[in-house]
Order: sequence, then C-alpha cells, then structure tokens
Amino acid sequence: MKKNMVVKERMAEDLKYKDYIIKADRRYAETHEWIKLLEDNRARIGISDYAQKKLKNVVYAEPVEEGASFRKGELITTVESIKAVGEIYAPVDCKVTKYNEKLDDDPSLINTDPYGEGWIVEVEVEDPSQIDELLTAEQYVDKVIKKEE
Amino acid sequence: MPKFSTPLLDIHEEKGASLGEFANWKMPIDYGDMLGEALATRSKMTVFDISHLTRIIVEGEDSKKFVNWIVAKNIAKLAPGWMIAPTAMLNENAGFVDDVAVYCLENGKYMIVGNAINKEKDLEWLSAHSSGFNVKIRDITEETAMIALQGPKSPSLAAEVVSGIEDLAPLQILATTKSDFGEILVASKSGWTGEPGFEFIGSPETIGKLLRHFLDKGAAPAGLGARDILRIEMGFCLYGEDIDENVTPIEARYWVFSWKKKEEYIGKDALHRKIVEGVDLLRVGFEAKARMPIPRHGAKIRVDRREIGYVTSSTFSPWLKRVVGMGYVKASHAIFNVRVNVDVRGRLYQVTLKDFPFVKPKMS
Repeated sequence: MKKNMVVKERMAEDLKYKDYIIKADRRYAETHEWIKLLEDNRARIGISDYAQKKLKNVVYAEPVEEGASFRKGELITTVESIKAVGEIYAPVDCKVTKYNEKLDDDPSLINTDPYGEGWIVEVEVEDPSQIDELLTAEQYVDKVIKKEE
Repeated sequence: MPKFSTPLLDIHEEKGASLGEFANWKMPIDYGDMLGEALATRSKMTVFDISHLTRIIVEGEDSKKFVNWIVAKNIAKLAPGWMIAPTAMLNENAGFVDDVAVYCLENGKYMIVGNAINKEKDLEWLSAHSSGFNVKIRDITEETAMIALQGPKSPSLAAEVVSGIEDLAPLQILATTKSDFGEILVASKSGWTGEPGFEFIGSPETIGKLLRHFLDKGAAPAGLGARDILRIEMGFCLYGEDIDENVTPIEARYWVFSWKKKEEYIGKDALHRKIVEGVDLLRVGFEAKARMPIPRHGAKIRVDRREIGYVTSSTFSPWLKRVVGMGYVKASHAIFNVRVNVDVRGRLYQVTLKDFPFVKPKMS
C-alpha cells in the first residue's frame, strides 16, 4: 500500500508557482525542508527551490556530524547566504548517516540544484510514517508558499 | 512601506531585480546573483542605481566658508570641476554625523553627497549650523537620480556618452555636461569599488535613459548586495554598521579630515584630544583562514577565549573566495597578521587581522 503511494507521488507532476519549482516526488516541512525516501529507511533532506531563492547565494553550509540524532523539529544545521542564515530542522525523527561534503567546496549547489546535488544530509528515518504526515508538494505550495508570498 | 523609492524602479523591474528596503528607500537588492554581480564589477562592468544617496546643494556668498566649517577636510582650495571624498561632517565630539563627498560644481556652489539613512539628520545639521552664514541649502535628492558605472570596461563606455570623461583624473568632475540623453548635472570619477568607475547625476528622465543605454551596451545591472560586498572588500565603512555618531575617524582609521593645513572645523578640537589621549579601540580588517560562516554585526572577536573586540561588517568575498570583514578591537590587540578567533553562535573560527584593502584597487 505504502509502496503504491510512493509510486503515485513519483508520477505526479512537479508544481510551478511563480518562479518556484516544487518537486512532487517528495514531502515538505512548513520550515521549507524537503525529505525524500531513497530505499528502506534511508532518506535525503534538503531545502526547497522556494527556500533557496529566498535565501539567495548560499556561501556556507555548516557540516553535520555523522551519527547525530535529531527529533522532529530540532535544528540539524544552518546554511548561510550573504545576508541570511537558513536553519535546517529535522522534518522527522532521524539519525544523520552522511553529510553532503560537496557543499564544503561548493555550497552554491543548494542554489543550482536544490533537489539533487544540493541535498544537505542523508538520514536514517526512525518511523517512515512520519514522512506521510508531512506536506505534499501541492499542500506546501498552498499552505506555506502562498501564505508567505 | 519605504518612504522613498528610486525613480528608476521600472527599469529594475524589467531587469528582474529583487527589490528591497534600505534606509527608507525601495531599491534593487540584486538581480538574482549578488556574488556574480560583485565579480562582474571587477572583471567586466556593472551599473548601480545609487539614487538613494543624499544630495544637497549648498550655495551663496559664504558657501565656501560654511562648507569648510562643516566638513573635516580642507575645501578652501577645491576648485570647480573637482570633488573631495571621502570626508565627513563631525559633531563636537568628533563622532560621525555622516561621511560625505563634496563636489565643487562652480564657484560658490557645492554639492554634498551623503548616506541615505542620514538625509533628515544631515539637512538639520547643515541648517542648524548655518546661522551667520549667507548660504542656501537645498535638498535635490528626490528630483534627481544617480547611477554608477563601475569596472575595467567602464571608461570606454562612459566616453561614448560623455566626451572628455575618459580624461578625468580621480576625483575630477564634469558639471552640467551635454549628452545624447539630455543634460547631465554631474559626471564624476570617484568610485568606491577599487575599479575604475564613474557616477552620473541628473534628472530621473536623463539618468533613466543613460541607465538603459549602459544596460544595452553590456553593463550588467548590480544591486545593493553586490555594492556591500565590494565596499567590504575595499575596507570601506558603511554608516550605521561600522561608524556612527559615537565613533571618531581616529578609532575608525578613516582618514576623512585635514590636520595641519586647516584652521577650524566642527570636531577638530575633539579630534585633537583623541590623538593626545589615545583611543581604546581601533578598526581593523580580518580574513578567514578556512571556510567559515559569515560573522554578523556584533559577533565577538577573541584571543583564546578573551574578548578583544567585535565585528561590524563581514561578507563572503567571491573574488577572494573567503570570508572577510572588519570590526573594532582593543588598541593593544590591533596587530596585523596576528591570528585571532571570531565567535559565531558559540563556535570559534580562526581569522587573521589584516589592514585594508583586501582587494588591491586598480584605479589610480
């Protein structure tokens, strides 16, 4: 049942609101993080195209220690642009298994490819059903972006 | 809502600017890539809308005497066709009322260009100190626009529009000069990026046409974000961040005053006392050793864990590919090339204290 849902989400069309692309193959937190299940309980976390456009040129990402555990809503790390500090909160209970070291050399990957190469951490999700409780692309656009814009 | 707005807003919107508020002005912050805009200024050419800067005309029989009393550099010998920058209006304690540029447009007619944030204060200060002087003080900020063309490719493009501009020496100006786009009130060669650069002041209509022309001819639009990066790379102060009414030019190591060659001006006695008594803090630059977050205004500077000062401005320099910034440290610790720490949210990052500029100016 759950597998079917994931497949359906993958096939859903990406959304575009104003200049912002919101990928339909993942879920979103109100604080602008996306999370995407890779396989089993492994997932990646990054920030939305909307968030990176608001933040503008990212010049620094604070590395995250592997093995660190976070409860849903806890601060995982920060990414910084010239004028702002973006806080990355855990969208679900999780343990960090990998930090994207490519960001050390090129933090602008968060701007150029927020849903791909610009991922921030890879995590082990304690309870994948927590992901289902997050916002779909459509809900994220309607409930979060449209309210802020 | 900001109180003022650049008159060139429609052009910026066409160019995809993201607009924001700065010092009560609605203006372009960037055009999608402030790092790229800063880099383009050093490698090619960009154009900035700086209409928000305060522009005040001082004229009348006593204008020379008055301006010389108000600003800290000697303008007695400033001839028409030249400007002095930077200088400052100091208060009686030698704190900065504003840091300004003074243009001599013609005999007895000066223009003072100051920071946007200080417009009302500057006007009040000038008016309050003008009693006994036969002068007329006129704010022309809103009836004019001002743009800056900056970068190594700017001299040839500027010359296409205003003949003779390429021959200007630094701080030389052309007052009321003709162009294909209408009369330009002032064309000047000063620059605050370290690159060759020119400023143009005139009616919003003329300056708007000039801006479009520069954009059509390959100057990339650049916004306030890039401007801030470029000025930090040069070690220049921003009023309200790095200097204010409680800081004197001595602590700021900001050489905006004349000393021996000038008899009297507001703040001179206090400056003299500062020199005699010495200062507790000095403004210094710092450069990151490795990648680090940008310390924000107020971040503590430490040696080991001992606090020796604080950051006032910092940025990521796309040219140097590292964090640079400035701040005030105890005079006893203001030693260049010494490694100290900057505290960002409780974590210490190593930086080296440096003199300015971080990027060597190309303009001579």
